[in-house]
Amino acid sequence: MRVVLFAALAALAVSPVLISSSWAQSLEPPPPPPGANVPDWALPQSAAHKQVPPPADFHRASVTSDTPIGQFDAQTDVGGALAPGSASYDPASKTYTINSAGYNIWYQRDEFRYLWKKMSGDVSLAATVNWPNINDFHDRKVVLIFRDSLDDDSRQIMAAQHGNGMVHISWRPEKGSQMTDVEYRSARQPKLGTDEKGPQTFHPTRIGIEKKGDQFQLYISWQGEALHPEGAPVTFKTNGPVYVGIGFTSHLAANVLTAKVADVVVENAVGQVR
Amino acid sequence: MWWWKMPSVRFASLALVLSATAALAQTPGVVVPAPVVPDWALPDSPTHKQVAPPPDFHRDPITVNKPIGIFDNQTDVGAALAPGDASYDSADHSYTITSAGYNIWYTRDEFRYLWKKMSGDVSLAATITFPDPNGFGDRKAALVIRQGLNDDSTEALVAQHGAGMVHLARREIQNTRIKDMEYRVGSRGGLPGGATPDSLVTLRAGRIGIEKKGDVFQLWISWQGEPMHPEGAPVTLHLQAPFYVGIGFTSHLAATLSAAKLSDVVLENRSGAVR
Repeated sequence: MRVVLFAALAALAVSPVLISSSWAQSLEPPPPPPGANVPDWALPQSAAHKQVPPPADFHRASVTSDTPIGQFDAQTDVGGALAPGSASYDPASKTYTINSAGYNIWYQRDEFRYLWKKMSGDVSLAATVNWPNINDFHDRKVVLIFRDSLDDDSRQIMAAQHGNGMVHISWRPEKGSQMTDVEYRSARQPKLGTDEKGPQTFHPTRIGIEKKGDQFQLYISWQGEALHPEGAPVTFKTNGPVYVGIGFTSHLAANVLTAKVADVVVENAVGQVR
Repeated sequence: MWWWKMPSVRFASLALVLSATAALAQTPGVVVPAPVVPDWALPDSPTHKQVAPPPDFHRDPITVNKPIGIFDNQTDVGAALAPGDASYDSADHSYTITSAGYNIWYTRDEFRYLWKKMSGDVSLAATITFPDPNGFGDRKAALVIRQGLNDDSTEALVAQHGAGMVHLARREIQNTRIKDMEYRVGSRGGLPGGATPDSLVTLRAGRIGIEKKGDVFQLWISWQGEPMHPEGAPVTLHLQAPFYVGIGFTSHLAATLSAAKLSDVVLENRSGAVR
């Protein structure tokens, strides 16, 4: 039995295609927890609701805890989601566990748990995203993110991996402006003689983002190949020190979900995304 | 349509179609009935669910013995219901390939193929555009390395689709269903043409490539002009030397011609030269 299990694990280790296939996510959001007072604008897209931006003048103060964690100096609930976030770090597995609610990181303001440090100059940032429950809401996302400030509508640029496998580089070019992105998806056609329906998602092995002056380059490894630049770099003006870190939002205003972020590389140099 | 499976019926029908087409070219004003497209060859649509060809269905390739550019010959693999064509523009080193063809998928293919025979490692890359921007979304231009010219040959290919999807596909065993890994890219707010600033607009790859290194085949892509990079994991496929290497196109419509232009084609007899 032990031998069989080991063989199975070994097969998984050398077959990234095998591990990443056939994951399904819930397209329909779960209901808000009992008693939560979620405004209509904060509801995600669903069969019964068309997703919209927050009201133009809506903001919530960010809530910062000066608790260092792993490679980061402090933690903030950016945009003060309706349920507080939390995080822990396991040095043995080099894994951060981030718990967060939050309507989204999109439109003109954000709600997410942010683990950050302030940095100047060039930066290489990379991580492996693991979902404790792959079937959680599909639009939740882990971000590797650079921001001007901790405000909910700060200028920012990030690489994000979604629960449904989509990876994007996205940015808010001006404080309070709408966001722009470039999105990458990978899949395969259903296997013959199975119940699979439609394209079957490949979830990336690892993502990264590199800051070289004001040029930001997304990196992806889809199936265990070496991390490579994906798409053109994006120009995003920075002025002195920026907040650099990792974050997570459930994309559900009052429901806390969990992501695990492992083997984080955060280095004050280019060429270290790996 | 059981009768369609009988080779004699198939070839007679095809001959009729071809001779009728030739007659049309020589006799203006003669109305020629459109080729009969079997139900299985229809693509997915709101009124039709796309299916695989019948398991025993094949058509012989039609090779025209016309060298073109760097390629030695041209073949209508799977002999689509309308014959294909190709031209080469030496001014900008581009190939324009015209082809019908139900698909390059399932157990067999129909496409126009410009090829040469090679052995060893290969680097092949091209920049792909579609002259008709409103053509069928599933049409595809492909960089194809195949064992033979038969419609059900083992093969590895990378293809760019009209709707923007790029995939690495392979038929590991002759006459079996093909498998793939697909990549789709788009932008919200960063490309022109969205209905709203939040609409997802397709980003088409700048350039694609395929590299054969022994039995390992790797897809290469540049999405937006960044240096060509490997995309996704490689696949393994064993081909006997010599094999066929080339470029092709299918309209994904059994009897309807469409075209693709493949520019700046790089073909080298070694790995590591995709660029």
